[in-house]
Amino acid sequence: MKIRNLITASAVGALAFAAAFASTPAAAEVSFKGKTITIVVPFKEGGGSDVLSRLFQPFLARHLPGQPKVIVYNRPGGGATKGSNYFERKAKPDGLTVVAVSTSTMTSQALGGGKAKYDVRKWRPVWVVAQDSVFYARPETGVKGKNLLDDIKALKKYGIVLGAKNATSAELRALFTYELLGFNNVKTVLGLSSGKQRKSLMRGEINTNYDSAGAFTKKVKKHAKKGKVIPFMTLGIPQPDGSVIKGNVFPDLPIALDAYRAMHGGKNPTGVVYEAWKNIVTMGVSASKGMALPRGTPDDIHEAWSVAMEKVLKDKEFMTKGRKIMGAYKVNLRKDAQKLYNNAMDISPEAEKWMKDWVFKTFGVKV
Amino acid sequence: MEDAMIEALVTLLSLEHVTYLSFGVFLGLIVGILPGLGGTAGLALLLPFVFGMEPTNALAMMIGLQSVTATSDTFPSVLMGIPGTASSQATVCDGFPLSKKGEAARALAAAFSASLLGGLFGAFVLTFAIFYAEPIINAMGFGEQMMLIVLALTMVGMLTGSHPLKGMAACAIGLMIGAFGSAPISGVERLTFGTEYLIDQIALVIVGLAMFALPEIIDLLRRQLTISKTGVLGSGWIRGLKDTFTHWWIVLRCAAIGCVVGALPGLGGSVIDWIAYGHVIQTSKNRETFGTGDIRGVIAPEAANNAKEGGALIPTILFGIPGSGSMALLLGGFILIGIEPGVEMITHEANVVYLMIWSVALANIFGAGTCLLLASQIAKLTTIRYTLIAPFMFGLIFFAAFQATREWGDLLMLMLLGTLGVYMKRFGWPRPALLIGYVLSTRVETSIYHTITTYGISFLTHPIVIILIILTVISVIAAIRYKPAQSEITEGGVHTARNKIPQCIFYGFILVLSLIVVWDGTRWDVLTGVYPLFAGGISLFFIIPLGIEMYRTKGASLVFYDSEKEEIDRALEYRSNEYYLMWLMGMLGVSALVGFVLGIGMFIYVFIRLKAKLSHLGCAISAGIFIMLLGALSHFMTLQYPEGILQSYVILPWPLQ
Repeated sequence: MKIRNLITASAVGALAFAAAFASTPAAAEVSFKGKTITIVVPFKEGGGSDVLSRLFQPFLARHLPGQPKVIVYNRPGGGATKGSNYFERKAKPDGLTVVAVSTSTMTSQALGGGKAKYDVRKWRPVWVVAQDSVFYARPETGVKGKNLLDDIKALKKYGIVLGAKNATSAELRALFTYELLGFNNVKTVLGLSSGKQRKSLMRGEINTNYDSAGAFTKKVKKHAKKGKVIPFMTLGIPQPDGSVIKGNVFPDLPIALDAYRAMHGGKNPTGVVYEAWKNIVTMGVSASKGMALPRGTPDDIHEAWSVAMEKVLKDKEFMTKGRKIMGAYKVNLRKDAQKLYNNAMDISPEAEKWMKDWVFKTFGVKV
Repeated sequence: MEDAMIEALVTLLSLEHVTYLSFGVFLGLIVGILPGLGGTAGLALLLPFVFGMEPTNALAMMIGLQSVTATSDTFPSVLMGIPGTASSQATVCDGFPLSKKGEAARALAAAFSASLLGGLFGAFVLTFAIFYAEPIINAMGFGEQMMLIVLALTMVGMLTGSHPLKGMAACAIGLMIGAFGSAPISGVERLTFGTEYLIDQIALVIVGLAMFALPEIIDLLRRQLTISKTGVLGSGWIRGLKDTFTHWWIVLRCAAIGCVVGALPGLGGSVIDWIAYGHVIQTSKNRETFGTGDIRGVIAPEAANNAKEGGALIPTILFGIPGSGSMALLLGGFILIGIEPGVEMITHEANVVYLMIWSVALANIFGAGTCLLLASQIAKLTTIRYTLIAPFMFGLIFFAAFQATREWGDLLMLMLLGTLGVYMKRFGWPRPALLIGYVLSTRVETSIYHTITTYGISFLTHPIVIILIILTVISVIAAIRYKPAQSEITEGGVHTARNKIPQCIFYGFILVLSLIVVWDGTRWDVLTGVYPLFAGGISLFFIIPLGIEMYRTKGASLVFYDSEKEEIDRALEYRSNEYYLMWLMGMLGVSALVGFVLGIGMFIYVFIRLKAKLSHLGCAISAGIFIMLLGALSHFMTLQYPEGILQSYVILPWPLQ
């Protein structure tokens, strides 16, 4: 016993000693004083990721150790691949370059046919935040927004016509959702940006649509209030531990899995369709926006960034100004952020095959 | 509505708004006066600055710039005989002869006052038209949008230059350029040849600069010692103003043409001036003086090309369909600052709409006023040797092109398409037709698909579709009846059949390009491949008969065109197009070694040293100024210029990186 205690004690002591040496001084060493930090944004000026990056710009400059200068560098194109490939090629693991990561960074890797020369999972995420998707329909479809099961039945009877950007975008999450819920009469009009989708919905050329929570609040809510469109469900947010929860922005709307459970006697879905659905929803919802350091970034630098991010989130000015733009969803850091990247991108060969077969079967497009 | 009007008026006349508007007007006047740059290039340069600005200020700046490029571009058209922008080509016909006659002041005064009245008329019409347009907009579904695009495409018939088949084929080349990059429907990357650069569509800015700016600069370098031969404005200001008021009926009619045609998508400046010019010739009694310095030939296009800015805003605001290349950029700018054009704008943001319209009017007053005041000073600038100006303009257009995606590929693409533009100019393939084809390419692809998927053929029963079909038919008939001015067909002129080998080589190049596009179309699924097949197919449809005609025709004919057959001023040393293209390739080659900033600096130094024969100090100062300008821009805009091999070894200090 004594010996055991001794060993334990000395082990604890050694660990504490090592930790004291390894972490405290090292963390103090990381300083970006006099340096310039570049946020590589693989999108155009004015896009969602660009706006967020410019929102963070002054706060990161304030809270990163050494208060460095922070600049935003836009490198748009190729569904985020041009800027992300540039980041993968050029960024050194010294904490001076981060990349804005969004859904398309991941879908380009998963479905882009090799144009992405990076692996999001190898990057070291600083923060990851979700952005729920809201589904809504025109009244003539019979959707009432009162009971999801009834709405699904009405839609199945009426037939869904919806828009999507193209056959390989993150908007597949809407199509996979209807697939999961057993729809077999979904007509998709491709080549419509989300702005055009909203317009053709108002003209009645498509009858259901889906938007990110932010876009819904800004552009669709006014129509919903007048009863021109009826929101009936959200996608829900896959968590780092794999569960799917309701987001806190639309507490009154049921999530898609509620419908599945109601249809199948309370059981959760299983199988390859659900796997693929979860991959794509994690990309499109849970890991909607974020920032990452390059592969091989040492722990102390990554920790310095994570600490700075925590400070940003607690910054009073950010809480009033920034949260409006960012949305009220939980910001994931460190291991949770990493887990979300893994959950999104660890696609089993069966799920990948199912996705590709589905796209080919539905649109005749080979991914 | 009154509330919105008053709110707009208050904002319009606020000091802040007027300041930004004036700044935009100032920039617009500069890009308009620089041959080769126009509203498109100006807005492209402005766009990166717009983000983060107060929306109404950004709006003022963009509209200020956009509204006056068609005013100041009159300077080079009248004083130098070269169009400042595509929208004042027709002004050259009578404006330049007037200058040569010593009546430049009269021509300029008439042009600016006509511009001003045209611009005000456009804004006036827009103020009311925009509200009556609302019910029409609500009915603009996929089918109606498709027919609008088809209607716009038929207008290419007006732009076919000397030979209709060449015009249609040029439009098809534009459609084919639009086939490169990710398919808008499936998202699959076609025609990328394995490159990362071609994943996205080729940027409109690059196509515009390549078609208009680069060929014009080279042409001017070859043909003229200085931009202006006299630099004297002559007398006759008052007479010019009087001319405009004497011909008020022409001003009104041409302004109306500008407004209506400007509102139709796909057109824009490059046709409107010609339509107005053609109209005034058709309706005038004594028409033989046109082309030799008739003041009516200046008033008509100038009244129309400023009125069109008002008209062109209608589709841009209401449908989100830009009427021209610069409107496309303006649209991009609106979206950047959070203004999403569409029906909702009229109902929810009427004050912004009024603000836009009246900003156009105010910008026109500022612009025309400034031009009248500055005219004599600006004319002096045009007496500077062109060899001193050209290298800066090359630097500017490559800089502008680089803003497209900020990659090396942008510079190479400008070089590549610019070379195409140079030969299209030489062999009489109309470049405006190409640009229209290109601007409409993606819309052609998606709108046909959207219409067929959603409606099948039932869209043909929609009333607006039927109206648009009728207009399309009228437009086709008009295009067939329309005969543009033609030069004499003689063996000594540009239409000679002698030494037709160069144009046959160019023809062969277009043929091969079409075949490649068609071949690529066959490699993909339907959603990806049908458009390249369609665009390449249309091209073949027009160029095969063209080839047969070129093969069969023996004597001088409209089917042949080679501007090398024109006399070139003997005071200049003879240099070919290829000579100047080699200069540019040399510049890119050096840039590959030492980066773009040093590359263009060295280019300016050497060019001015060898061509303008300035002292080493003068050359160094010239190059230094440009490098500092680039440095300042990179500082404010967070740019990283294209790097060379040197930069991968050494980290250079600002502004040389």
